[in-house]
Amino acid sequence: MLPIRPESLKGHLDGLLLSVLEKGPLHGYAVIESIRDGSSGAFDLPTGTIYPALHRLERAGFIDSEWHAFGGRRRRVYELTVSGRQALVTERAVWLKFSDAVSSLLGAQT
Amino acid sequence: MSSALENEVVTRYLTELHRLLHGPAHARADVVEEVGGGISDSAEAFAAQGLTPESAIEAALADFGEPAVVASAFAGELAVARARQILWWLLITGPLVGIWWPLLLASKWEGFLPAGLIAAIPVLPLIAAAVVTGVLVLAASGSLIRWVPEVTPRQALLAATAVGGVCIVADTALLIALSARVAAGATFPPLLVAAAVTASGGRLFGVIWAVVRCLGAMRHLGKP
Repeated sequence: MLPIRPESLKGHLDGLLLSVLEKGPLHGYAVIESIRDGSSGAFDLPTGTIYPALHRLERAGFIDSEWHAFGGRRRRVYELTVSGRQALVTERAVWLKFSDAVSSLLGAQT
Repeated sequence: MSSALENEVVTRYLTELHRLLHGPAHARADVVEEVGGGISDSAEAFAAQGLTPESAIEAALADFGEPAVVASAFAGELAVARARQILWWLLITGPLVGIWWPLLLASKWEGFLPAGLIAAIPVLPLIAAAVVTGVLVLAASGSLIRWVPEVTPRQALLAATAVGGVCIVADTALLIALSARVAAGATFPPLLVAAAVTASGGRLFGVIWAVVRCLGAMRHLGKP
């Protein structure tokens, strides 16, 4: 598998995080695992970068968080807000436009 | 199930992380707790793959990275949290402090008109500019970033520092102005004087602390 550099995801990380939360609330590590599993291991982001990105999305109002108890330990669980779902629609539209433009310049065959 | 040694390894990691984080105390505590939970989840995942508990903890800590790297990743968000905390505090205490000075220095009813207020309190336009700056930066660092350009952590800290600086200048200028007028023989209602001096004097200490915190936070931005 071709290695994908983490910096290639800059600008798209928000969309990835919103996308994995679309299915339902997740705590931080579950978000990381969802990205790894959902990309079949192509995106193995530094774990430390995901949590601050989630905090920023919460600051923007795209996700909410609550502390939940799991087996005697607390986890911060994140959930998509209505604004987050709207932002995800925008992210997908932007990505389609971006990927179409890149594909036609790189000469990718579909 | 973790042994005491494994717990000690994780505790040492989290203690070091807490030491390297710079921001509001509650935000730092939340980060440490969240990362601790993530390390536990990661270790469980590695243990489920067949690693021994000790190796699973080591793998989980390696997965997260050195505390300095994790702290560096959080620096921006904690800086914004610090700036927002200070800006909110300054905006809320502003009216609580500011209400006394027009009552004290604007002696006639004309003093409550804009021109009269500025004549009585010359720093008023500076304060107004600081309020506008504070409100704009709060907007550009909160949920309105969906619609307005987002300020960077450094810009947020600079704004908080500047607004704090204006408060220091304003409170100091007002206290000096009052002292000069008293020295010149003017008399004022004692209770009003006490309220104004206590409010401004007390806030001065708080603002100086806040500005020092902002400057400290700026030093740590971008540092591992």
